[in-house]
Amino acid sequence: MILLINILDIICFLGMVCAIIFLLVGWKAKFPRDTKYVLCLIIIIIAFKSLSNVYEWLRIPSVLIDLEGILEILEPIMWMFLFYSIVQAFHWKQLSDNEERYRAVVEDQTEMICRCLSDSTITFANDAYCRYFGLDKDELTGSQFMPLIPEEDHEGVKEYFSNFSPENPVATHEHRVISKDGQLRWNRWTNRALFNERGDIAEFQGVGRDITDQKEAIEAMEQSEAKHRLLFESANDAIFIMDRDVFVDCNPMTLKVFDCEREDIVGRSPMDFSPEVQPDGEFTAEIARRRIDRAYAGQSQRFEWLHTKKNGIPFYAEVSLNRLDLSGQVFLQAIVRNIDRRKRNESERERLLKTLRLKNEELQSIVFISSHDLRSPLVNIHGFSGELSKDCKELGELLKNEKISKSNLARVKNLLEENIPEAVDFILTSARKMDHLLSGLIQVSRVGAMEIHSRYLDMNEIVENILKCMQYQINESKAKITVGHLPRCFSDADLIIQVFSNLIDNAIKYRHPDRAAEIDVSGQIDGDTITYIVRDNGIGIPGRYQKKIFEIFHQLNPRDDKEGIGLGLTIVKRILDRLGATISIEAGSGEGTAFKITLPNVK
Amino acid sequence: MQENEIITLLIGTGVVVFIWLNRVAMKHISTRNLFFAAFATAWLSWLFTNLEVLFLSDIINMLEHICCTISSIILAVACWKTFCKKQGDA
Repeated sequence: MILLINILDIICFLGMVCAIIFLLVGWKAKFPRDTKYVLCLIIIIIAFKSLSNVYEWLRIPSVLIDLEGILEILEPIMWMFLFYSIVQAFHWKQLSDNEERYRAVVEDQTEMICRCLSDSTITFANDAYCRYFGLDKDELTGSQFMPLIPEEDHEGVKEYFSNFSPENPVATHEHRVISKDGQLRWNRWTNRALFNERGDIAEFQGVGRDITDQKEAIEAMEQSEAKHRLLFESANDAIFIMDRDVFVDCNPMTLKVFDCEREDIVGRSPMDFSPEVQPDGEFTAEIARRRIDRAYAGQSQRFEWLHTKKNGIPFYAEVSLNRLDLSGQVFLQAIVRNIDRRKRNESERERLLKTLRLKNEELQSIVFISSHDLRSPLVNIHGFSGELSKDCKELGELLKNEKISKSNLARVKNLLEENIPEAVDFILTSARKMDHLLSGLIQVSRVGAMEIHSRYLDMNEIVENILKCMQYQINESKAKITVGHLPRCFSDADLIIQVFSNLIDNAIKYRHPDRAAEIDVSGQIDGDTITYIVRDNGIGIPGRYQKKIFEIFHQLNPRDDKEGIGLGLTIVKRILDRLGATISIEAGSGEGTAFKITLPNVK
Repeated sequence: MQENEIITLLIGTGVVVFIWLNRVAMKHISTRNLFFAAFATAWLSWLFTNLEVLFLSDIINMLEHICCTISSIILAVACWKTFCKKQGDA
């Protein structure tokens, strides 16, 4: 048993010898130095312990045997040191790793980091700071940062640093600095004040970055924004921003166009500013939704729209809808231009063009008819002048001889008493007719040139005066004239008198030969118009002539014995055209005629 | 001598407690388990040293020496693995 124990002790000793060899061989291995020493001591203690056991067994006196008790106590203590040194090494390593990590964080920063005293003396600056200002770390440490800031900004920086307190230990400031190439650049610094136990500022720790590009970009953006804002604000068109069919923003012109306040617009829909139905008959809501959907799909929309102001007054607008992407959100931009005036102008132009066309046609007709009607007496004059000339020549030939034969005398007599007077009579008649026609033309042209002085007219009084003036004709024709209640109108008295005089005169002139003339003058208000009717029981106008009777020099029966050259109705028509009124006929042959005059009812 | 052995065991037990409390900090030593094993067998040998006076003195004495030998062998292996086998593995 004892032998076995001693063998075990020898093995133990040899194991420790091996261990110490391994330890010495690998001494340079990466391992905590203190731990190596402690491990070495443990191995030696165990080796000595086993050696003392062997000595004891061999009964060899040795100092080791006396030291065994001490070695026994030392062994666990050494183990304790071993593990303690391992733990310590771990903590040191952790500290070292942390320091390295934090150093790397500070030094590898692209942002500038520095620490300084309250008198602006720099105590630490990272690599980024040194690179930015083009200075060495040694140069910077101990120097002051104020010379790196332009003098104009010194006051601002000083004030900034004076505002730190334990309650406000962190603050940010933007100022200019002089970079390594001497240029002025903008910096933003966030500093933290570090206080000592008395509460005084011991140091500042700051993180800074160059914001020159950012500043320039912001400045450019602000300029651009101001420019666009100005465009938006000063645009002559109403501009909306819409989210689906809800207005979210609008420019000042919108308020002018829709005659309302901003609160009346924002949050409302275009349908709130439109009638239910558009002029083309489509429902506003349907067509608006269709347009909005198309615009959202990216198809720009441009169309005419009937809008209403806040007070309900409608106006025509030209609308342009465009999709707008703002910060990832899709909106619609609506540009609304009031085209009411343009529409009115267009309509006025259309009306004027139509009038011009009619006037041209009328002028052509006058020229044609005038030339035609003037030609007839001219031909007469020409023909009979020729006859007269021939007769005079023949008369001259006959009177050349001193002695005139009986037959020649009869011929002279015939020429002087029949041919020449007849030719002169025809020439005079034709000249008179031409005179009448030309006078008529002058009358017609005067109607176009007369100035209009409109006022409210008592129509009953006017018609009464006309009848008084025509009393002789009325008595002669035994016509029975009745006048109903005639509403007043706003027009030119002289022209209206001329119209009614002509119509009543025509009614008397073209009365039926087989019955007593009955003329009825009546009137009524039909909303925006006033209608007057002059009805008679005369010979009437056949349907085929009803359009022609207003043409110049047109007469129903030119060869009858009625006076006139066919100008009365032409003048009536022209006067009514000038007054913005119309005339129409309700008539049949032999059943009398009714002239219907329609005037605007000016309130 | 008996007092020395009791003190040794008590100190060794204190080391066990220390190891338990700092087990996380020792994780960076790759061969820590071998060191723990060497220490554990050494601690057993100290325990047996104290027990051998109470009963079965021969057998327990034998166990004490066996534990001591095993501890030294494990420590030698730990040294070899730590310093010789793989440089810088610790």
